[in-house]
Amino acid sequence: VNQLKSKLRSALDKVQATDDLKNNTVDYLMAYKKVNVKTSKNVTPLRFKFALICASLLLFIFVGGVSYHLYFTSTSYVDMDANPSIGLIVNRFGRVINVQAYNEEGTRIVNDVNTRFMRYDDAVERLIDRIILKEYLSEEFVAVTVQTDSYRKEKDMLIQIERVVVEALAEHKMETRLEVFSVVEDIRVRAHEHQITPARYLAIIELKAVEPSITIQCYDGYSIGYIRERARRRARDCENSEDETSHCDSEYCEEGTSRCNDIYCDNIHCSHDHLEQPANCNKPNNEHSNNRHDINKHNSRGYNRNHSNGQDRNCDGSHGNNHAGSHDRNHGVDYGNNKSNHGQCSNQTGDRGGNHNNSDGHHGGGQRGNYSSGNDNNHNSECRDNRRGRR
Amino acid sequence: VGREIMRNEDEINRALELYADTIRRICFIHLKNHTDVEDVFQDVFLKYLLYERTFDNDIHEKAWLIRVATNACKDVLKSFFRRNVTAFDELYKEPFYLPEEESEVLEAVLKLPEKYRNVIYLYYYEGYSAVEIAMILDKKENTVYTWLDRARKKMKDYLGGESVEK
Repeated sequence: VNQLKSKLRSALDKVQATDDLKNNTVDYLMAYKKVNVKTSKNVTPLRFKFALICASLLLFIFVGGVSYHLYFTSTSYVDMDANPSIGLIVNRFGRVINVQAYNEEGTRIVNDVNTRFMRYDDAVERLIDRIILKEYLSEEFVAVTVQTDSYRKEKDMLIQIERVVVEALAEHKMETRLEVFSVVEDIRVRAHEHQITPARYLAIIELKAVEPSITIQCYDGYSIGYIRERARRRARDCENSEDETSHCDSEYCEEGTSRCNDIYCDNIHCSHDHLEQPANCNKPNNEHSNNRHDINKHNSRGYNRNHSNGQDRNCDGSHGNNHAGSHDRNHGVDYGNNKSNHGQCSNQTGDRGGNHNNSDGHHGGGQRGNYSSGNDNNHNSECRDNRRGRR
Repeated sequence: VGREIMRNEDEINRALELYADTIRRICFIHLKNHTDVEDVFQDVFLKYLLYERTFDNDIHEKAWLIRVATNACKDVLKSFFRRNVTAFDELYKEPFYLPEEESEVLEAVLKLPEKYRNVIYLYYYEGYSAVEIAMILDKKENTVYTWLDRARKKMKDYLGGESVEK
């Protein structure tokens, strides 16, 4: 063994790597290294990897949090009143993030149609469709209000909403008048505090101006059309009546527009508590709670009487002007909007009374003109439809 | 802070200094073609250049290089090209003189099948135990014993004497 070992050893000892082979190998390896430089940049220590993972995680959480915040922060409010009162809360991307129903019909519609995360215009379209199919739609008019954080967005939203509602109404051959207008945040907040839409809130405020003793609760179950009509009638009665104590608030009638402004201001800013006193409900509220047929009778009777007086134009005009004026001065914003609102109102049945072309674009003159110059049949059908809608 | 992935020139020179002859001998007992020898030799040290892990010690380092060299030789012998083409320097001869006895032993080793050559070289020249050879070649210990046994018998036949025993 040892012999073999030593022979093998001495033979293989002579097999050696030559200097040429070694040098060639070194040259080859160095050349290879030069071409394929890999440095420590690619070597990531565990600590660094961990830090990287943590940073990514934090970034992910941060981005997620910001996105969530951006997505679920409301920037716009779309409230519609078509008998069912529904409010859509819209984010900055125009998506509905929450839906609020303000009355029983509204709740039923909201339960039927899921509009969450839809675009606001699609949501409005679907809701209107559903309202029509359910036969909840008031024949008086549909009021949609928009409150948002920028004028430009507000303009776009008003146009979009008007378009989809007009299309939906036309599709179902409904001749319902449409009002789409913007409101200031203050009004929207106050309306929502009372769990009503801004359109309804404004109508009640309008009535409140001529009938200070009423409360919001007294009228939140009535249609906007009825409330406005009552306000208009009361204002007209006040103007026409020599006996100031019979129908009207003396304050309103005595001093005309300037007193009216004060009352209006008072109602919006000052007498909030007063507005919420349920004990002060007038007769209409009792009627409302007891028997809705009486409302219609009352409505109908009142309407006829006023109509026969033939004094619509004056009363409407004065009231409309006061309304606008007061708001302009006291808020500085809203009725600037509201004037243009009426420019944007769509009178779907504007020609029903034949006065559409004569309307001057003002609140009283434009819309009420259509009403007051209309015929009794129309009004009566409104009453009936009111009841049907409340079924 | 990480080091360079590739080893530096000093490390390469050190490895060549320590292991060049061993690798050259492994190439010698497997390959007859000078080009193949140079290719395998460079390939082994290229793998060493790119090997990212550190070795526990020199013994570990040497064992790793032997294993890489053995596998590289096997790959060359297995290659389709090598099996089907005869290089013009096939008859390459090592440029050294051997006395007749030594030459006989070496020729007997080179006549052995490839796997037996490995164990004979590692056992008799490098002085590894059968257990170590089993680890280096990634074979079972018993396999190594069997190979050693058979290799000895074949050597005995080739050399025609009693000189090859345990």
